[in-house]
Amino acid sequence: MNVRTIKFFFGEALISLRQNLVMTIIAILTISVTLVMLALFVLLFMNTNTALGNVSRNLAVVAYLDKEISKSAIDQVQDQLTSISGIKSSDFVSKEEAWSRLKSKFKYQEDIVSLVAGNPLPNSFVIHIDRVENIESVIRELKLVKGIDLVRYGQDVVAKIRKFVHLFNIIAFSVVGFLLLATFLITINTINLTILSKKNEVQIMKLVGATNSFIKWSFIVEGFIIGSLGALIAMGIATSLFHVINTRIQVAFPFIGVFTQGTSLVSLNLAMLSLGLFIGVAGSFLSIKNLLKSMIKK
Amino acid sequence: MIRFRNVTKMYRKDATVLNRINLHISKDEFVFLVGPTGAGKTTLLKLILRNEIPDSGGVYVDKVNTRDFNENQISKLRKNIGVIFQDFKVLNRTLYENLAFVLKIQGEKKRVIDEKIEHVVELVGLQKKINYYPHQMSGGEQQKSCLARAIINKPHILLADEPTGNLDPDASWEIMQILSKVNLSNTTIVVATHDKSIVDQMRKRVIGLHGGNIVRDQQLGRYHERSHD
Repeated sequence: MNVRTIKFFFGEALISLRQNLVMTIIAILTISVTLVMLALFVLLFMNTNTALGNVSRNLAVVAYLDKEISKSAIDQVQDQLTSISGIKSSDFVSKEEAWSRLKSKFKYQEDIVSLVAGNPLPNSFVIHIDRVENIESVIRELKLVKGIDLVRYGQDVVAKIRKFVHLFNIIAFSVVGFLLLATFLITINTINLTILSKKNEVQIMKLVGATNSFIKWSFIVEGFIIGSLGALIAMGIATSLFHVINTRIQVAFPFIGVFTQGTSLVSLNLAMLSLGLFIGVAGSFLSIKNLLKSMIKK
Repeated sequence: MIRFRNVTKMYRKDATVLNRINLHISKDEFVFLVGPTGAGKTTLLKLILRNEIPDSGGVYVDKVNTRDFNENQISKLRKNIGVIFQDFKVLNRTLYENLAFVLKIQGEKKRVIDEKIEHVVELVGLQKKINYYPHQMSGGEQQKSCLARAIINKPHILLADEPTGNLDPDASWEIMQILSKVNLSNTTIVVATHDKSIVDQMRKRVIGLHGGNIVRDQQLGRYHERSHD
């Protein structure tokens, strides 16, 4: 394909888009609207996952050590903790520190504390898990570590969060799948209508000796333009909406800590652009293929 | 140039459109296909254009059977065949853009496009309508536009299916005059028509079709068969 042919395809696509302006606008807006819906859902999904991640990140597992554990054994435990995958960080809390924290907690009920003879608390490690999904495997390994007497964590909370994350993921992927399918079908249908209105043009192209692949290319370029314009509009709307919604959520629920990384938004925009181009090109390709098949024999 | 050997074409098992047709049209000939509706005239043109394939027999263009042509060969064949129809089939663009469209598809340079367009609009007499849209032109002018598009690449063969079907007698005659001029420049012309007056005035070869059979083939023929000429 030479430069002149490519120029011809783009020139023809622009003429055609201009001549079928209403259908073109409908096709572009269909892609934009569905992509924006998809993007907003993905943003909701990502933010919810981020928020859940934040909650689960704050979950700490406390490993209580044997009461009579030696200093060297504590060091060995600490070494072993670093080799367990899924542990983000661990902080040693000596029994003296734990006792002091307990006393400060009960500073207004000193009489209660005074009833306890000596320091009954053991040395411990407060362990942070990288992801809530890893908590059970970490617990299993902690229980095997020599020197750890007891492991405590918020089992109920973790179980609920895990169940919720699982359910949310299933729903989110199903909805995204359906949205993608709907986007694709709606767009194909719209492009199909645009292409059907140019049956005359395709007939003339065939009559003057244009090959099927040549005709397909000219419509694919048109789909490329429709898809990219639809995606660009969607990117603009989604980015603006994201900033507005994000700001409002952060003002209303500052503790949730929604994701604000620019890179995620860039990735989302790139995904939208790719999807828009794919839908435009694939939609055009399928539509023109069907038209050629139904219209003229080879 | 064009040869049909025992060509049979059926659209349904019980509907034979062309029945064992044998026909030869030489280079530079001007031929009218006449006959009632359903006689097989359009199908015959479609077979030459390789828009249809015969059920049996062979259609030869330049001594080559077109039956087993692949897409590229069909494309090449059609670049050498110009076609015009009763319904004009023009794009909703200016005459210049309609003509340039064909040449751009064939990858011509701007300079060549302009030269060819200038020549062809002069031939059909539409120099002043170069920037007109189809709706700004009369039926005759629109058909001339189609004719200009069909001959812009100097095809070896020009097929015309009822080219004057929607035109008044004057416009029909103008189209025929242009076809005659094109014929003089070594283009074989095959016209399917119901237009008695132009066939009778042109006095060219007339092939009569009826019920899918060739019922007559006369040089310097008329629309209706006569025992005396």
